[in-house]
Amino acid sequence: MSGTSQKYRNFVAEPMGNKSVTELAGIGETLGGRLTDAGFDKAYTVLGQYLVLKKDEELFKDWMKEVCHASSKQASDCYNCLNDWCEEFL
Amino acid sequence: MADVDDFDSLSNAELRAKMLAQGLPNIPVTDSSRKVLVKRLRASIGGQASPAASPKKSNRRETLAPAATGPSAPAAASTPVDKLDGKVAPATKARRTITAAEVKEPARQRLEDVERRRPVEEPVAARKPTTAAPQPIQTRRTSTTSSAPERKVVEPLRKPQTIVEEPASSKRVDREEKYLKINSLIVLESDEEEDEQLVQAADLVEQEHAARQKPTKLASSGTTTYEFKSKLVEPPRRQVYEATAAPVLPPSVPSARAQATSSSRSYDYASNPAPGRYSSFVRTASQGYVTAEAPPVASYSSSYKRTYANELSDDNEAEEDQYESTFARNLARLRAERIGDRSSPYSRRTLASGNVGSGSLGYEPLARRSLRPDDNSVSVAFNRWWNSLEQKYHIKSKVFILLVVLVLIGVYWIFY
Repeated sequence: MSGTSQKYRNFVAEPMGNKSVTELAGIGETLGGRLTDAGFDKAYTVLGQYLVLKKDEELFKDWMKEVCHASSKQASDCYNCLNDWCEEFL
Repeated sequence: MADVDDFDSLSNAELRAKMLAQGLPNIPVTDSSRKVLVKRLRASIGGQASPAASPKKSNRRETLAPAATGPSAPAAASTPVDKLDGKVAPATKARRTITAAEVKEPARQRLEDVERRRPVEEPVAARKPTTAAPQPIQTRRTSTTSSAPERKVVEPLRKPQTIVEEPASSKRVDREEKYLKINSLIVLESDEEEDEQLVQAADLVEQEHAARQKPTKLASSGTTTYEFKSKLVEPPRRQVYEATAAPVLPPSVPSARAQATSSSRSYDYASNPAPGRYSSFVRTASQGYVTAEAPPVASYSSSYKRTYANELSDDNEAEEDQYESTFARNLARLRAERIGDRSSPYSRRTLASGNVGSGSLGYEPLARRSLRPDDNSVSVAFNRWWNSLEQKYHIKSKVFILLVVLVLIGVYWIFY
């Protein structure tokens, strides 16, 4: 595992608040647009889906792949980001 | 396939029931998560060959479990239980982690893991660590035991070494002691050798000194009363004296000496190969000598006066050139003065190595060997006694005064 990205550290460092979905690690403009199209425009909505799936990694990644056609790495980065944020603030 | 179609037509509640019937986790089915959950349900029903979440989860957990085997093994075992209630995969995963941990972890961690395992897994898990744990222990024990015999094998090898080393050290000490002893002996020997060398040097110096004074002594010694037969029967001890003697002077000197000497005594001499060195011996006439080495020619008397030169002339002249240093000469003179007392071992030494029978006058070195006091010592003893009195009491002046007084008394008695 390579080192964490700056985007990951920024998101995990503070409460997400009303951050955009693109603030999540592994979610760029493309995936953010798709998620926004799917109704997940905020980070906390994705967090809600993560929690609905009971923090299950495989289900969340599958959901990411299903909703925004994310790659495995992008899904993994987003999962790690939300998981660590939950461990920190939830 | 009908079931799959049914899944699409099923409501969220029915779909959730189906998932619970398949043993999948109780996850709320929503519109956003419906597709994912349907995929999972289809995968579980279709024989788990499909890309369902469970196999991936198992792989993921397998990868996580070995990574966290050491310290976080209980956490890795607890997380799937929390997440997946009643799921079969965690059991298999936990089992795999156990097997994986058996290989890598030490025995105590294995025992801890075994204690944390489920009761169902305990028999299997307990057997494996018990079977697996003893192996390294046995291997260690065997290794230790194997190393123990090695040590045992080595120890006997070392013991002799130590045994050898100890004697070696003792030998060293002994060597040192011996070395010191040897050195001390060497020093002592060297001292003795020095003494001997000094004695030899003194003898040689004596000889040299005597040889220098030969002509004068010969010239001045007109009262010798030697009488010997220059060509008589060979004495039995001649060879012995030849061995030690090394006469150098020409035979002409003894012949001249023989001509100059005239005595009533008879001496038996086999030959006179080099009697010259004894020609310088001057003695008083009544002096007699008795030697233990040469009883047949033991005693004789001569009229020569006894001097240091005479006494110093009893050694080999062949070695005269060896010691020419002034120190040796001075030392020889000092010892020669001691020799005059007739009590020094030096005189005996010189007599022991004396050349009695070598020269025509084999009696010479025996002079100091006489067992009786000097026969001619009447005047000598008187002189010595007189000298001693003179040195002690200055008796000459007193005697002179006494004589003068007696003469005056006599004159007075005659005339009055």
